Amino acid sequence: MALTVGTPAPNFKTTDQDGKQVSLSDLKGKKVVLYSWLHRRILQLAR
Amino acid sequence: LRDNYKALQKAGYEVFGISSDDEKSHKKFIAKEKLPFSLLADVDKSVHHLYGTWIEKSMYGRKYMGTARVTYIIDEKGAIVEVIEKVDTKNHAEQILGGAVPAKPKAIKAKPAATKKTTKPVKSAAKKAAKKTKKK
Repeated sequence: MALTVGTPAPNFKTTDQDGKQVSLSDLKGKKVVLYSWLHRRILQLAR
Repeated sequence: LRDNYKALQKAGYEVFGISSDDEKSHKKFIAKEKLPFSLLADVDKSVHHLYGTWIEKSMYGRKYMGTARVTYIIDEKGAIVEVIEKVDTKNHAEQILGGAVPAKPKAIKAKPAATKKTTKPVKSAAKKAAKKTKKK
């Protein structure tokens, strides 16, 4: 189930395309848009 | 979203795309699509699990696990302020801005209509009241 409005966003730690560490706690004080998009490979598999 | 990135940035948003693709494929994708924002690699899908965006889907009768297309808007305090599940790829930036930033054209357009509706009954009520006082 997707998360709902009003709940605190769970912290995550991952890396960006350059291997740089990104975590939500580092982004505190900033408004964040987190956009999850379709896994292209999965789509190809489904075809 | 790419083309409206500047508007989002002006409104103070940090934009991240996230998928279970790895860094290499992200790099290619950014170069190919000339994306101005960062893509996060979530190869082990831990973030997807945390945010509930790794779901069972079905296509042509086949079931598979895949990424749900969801946008989360997180405020400065780390709370989720909006969840957009029906992502409109063409107008996605507007979807984000329209919901989270009150002083945008969409919101302004809606306001006059709302005030008109509320003022009309008041006027007619005032007229009725005026008529009543005239009768007296």
